[in-house]
Amino acid sequence: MELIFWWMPLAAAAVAGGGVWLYLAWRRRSRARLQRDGVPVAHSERLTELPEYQRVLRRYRALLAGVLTIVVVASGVGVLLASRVSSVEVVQPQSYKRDIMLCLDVSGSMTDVDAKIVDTFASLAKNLHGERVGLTVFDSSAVQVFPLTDDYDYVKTELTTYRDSFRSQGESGLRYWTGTDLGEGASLIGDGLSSCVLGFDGDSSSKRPKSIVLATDNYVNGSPIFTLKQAGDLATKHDVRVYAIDPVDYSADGTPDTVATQLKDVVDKTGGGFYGLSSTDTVPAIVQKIDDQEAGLFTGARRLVVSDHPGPLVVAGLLLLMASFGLLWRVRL
Amino acid sequence: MAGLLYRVKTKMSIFAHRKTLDLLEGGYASVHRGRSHDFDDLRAYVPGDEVKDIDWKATARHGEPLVKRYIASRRHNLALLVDTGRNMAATAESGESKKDIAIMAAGALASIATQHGDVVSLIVGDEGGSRSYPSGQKDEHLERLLRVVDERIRLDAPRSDVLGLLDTVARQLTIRSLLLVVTDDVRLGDEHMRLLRRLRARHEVIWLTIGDADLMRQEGSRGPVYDVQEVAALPAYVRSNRALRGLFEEAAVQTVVDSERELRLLGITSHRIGSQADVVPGLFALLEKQRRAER
Repeated sequence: MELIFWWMPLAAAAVAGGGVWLYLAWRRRSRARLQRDGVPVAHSERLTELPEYQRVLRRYRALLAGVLTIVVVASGVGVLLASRVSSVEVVQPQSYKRDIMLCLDVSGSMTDVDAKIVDTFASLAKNLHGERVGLTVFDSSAVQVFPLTDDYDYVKTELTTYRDSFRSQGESGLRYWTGTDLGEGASLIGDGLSSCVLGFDGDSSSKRPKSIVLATDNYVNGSPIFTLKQAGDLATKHDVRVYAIDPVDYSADGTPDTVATQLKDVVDKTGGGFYGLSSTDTVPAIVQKIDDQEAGLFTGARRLVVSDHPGPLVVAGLLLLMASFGLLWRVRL
Repeated sequence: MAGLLYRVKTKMSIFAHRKTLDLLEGGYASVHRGRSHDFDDLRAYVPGDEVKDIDWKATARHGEPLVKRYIASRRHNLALLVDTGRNMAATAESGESKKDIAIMAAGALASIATQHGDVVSLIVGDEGGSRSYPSGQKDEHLERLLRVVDERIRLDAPRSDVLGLLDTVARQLTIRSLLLVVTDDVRLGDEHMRLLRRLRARHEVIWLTIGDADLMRQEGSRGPVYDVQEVAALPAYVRSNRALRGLFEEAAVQTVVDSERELRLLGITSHRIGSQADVVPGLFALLEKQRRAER
């Protein structure tokens, strides 16, 4: 707890001192004032000798003391209010204003993983604040399902629709592969990733952290326009980090195969990460890891947050003021 | 200049009917005791005169009632004892200044006395000491006496000291006189009683109390009420207390009744008035009471 206007109590004390001095001066003259304006009476002992008078006078003095106390305390509260009691904290706000593009390979082998990813993001959607999420699916051509948006209700609906579609292999509801088979070949990863990178809006001056969650097994079938490496360079140029989730087909000796290693190299270069999907790593856990890695990258600048706390003081001051008015009315000052 | 005496006389005729004034004069004429049989002259009967003083033979001859005037009763000495302390500058029951009422009362009785051929002297006193002014009969003399009272009673005058005043009179005034004591609701103690007993042995004493203001009355928008003795304000909060008001009224009435009773025990007639309008009827009542008490 600190005072923003630290000089206010000093000023108030000075004013109070001046007030006391004026009061004393006034009091010195009050005798003359009494004689000028007052009603002179004699033999007040007729009244003052009554025991009841003494009792009433004692009560009067007690009330006066009460009024004085309340007024002093209320003034103190007022001075505290005027000096702005506040707390000073250093906060390091996390940047939530990220853009996340889900970039899903929808070739037949990936639908399981895709379903888990969209499911995870669908359940995450309700906790998002300020982040934008987009979804692009690709196979031989890329389709932007929805662009980056913070309409989380819409995001959730779309993701849920796609999840159901993935789970049922396109049997029920929407056919997830619609529009992704217009190119030559299948699983053109480089083209898909490039489409995703170009799906971010704004130019390079945008300060929002950009990341792509790429789900693919990196088995390319055909000749893409962009190779994976070129797509990685494009991502780096656009300052987009790519996080790859790969259902790695670990070979018998427990090491990832060459295509997985190739993918890992590319995404590591963009500043992102590679997560192999094994039996121990579930999709939600990986998404959490990605989230942690991103959060570590983008925390806002340390800021000094000064916040006033006038609430209790205002309430106390008002109550005291009302009490003092009541008492003043009671003692007829 | 239009002096205080003139003002007093004007007020007397404003506040009283001609008949009341006649009654007052008659009452004054009859309060003196100690007639000799030294017959002096006759004068017209004034209501209030003793019926037994009527000279029936002369009346029969004259056609109008005439009363005998005796030398002993012809020339009396009226001494005005006026408390001139600052208490008397305070407010009276009616809201007027007690000083005005005191001057009015003293002036009224004095002017009646001089019309009767009596001489009037004045003794004033407060804590600063007492002072006597010699007897006189003329209007100028009365005017001077009233001015003394007027000038001495001020809010910054010394405090009231009725005891000192009575003491001075007891020691200094040797001529048998009619004493009119003009003071306020002073509480009479044993010392007062002792001095009054001494005075009573030599003089006729009549006591005029000018009622003090009701301390508990709400004065509307007027300023704070303060006691002249200590110059200390009486808080409005205390004065507005209803229970206290009742008790105060009770106590105030008790004080008035007590002092009247104590004075009566000493053979001193007393009366309490609260305003200038009360002066003439008050004086009349006082003299009437005095006349009855003598019998």
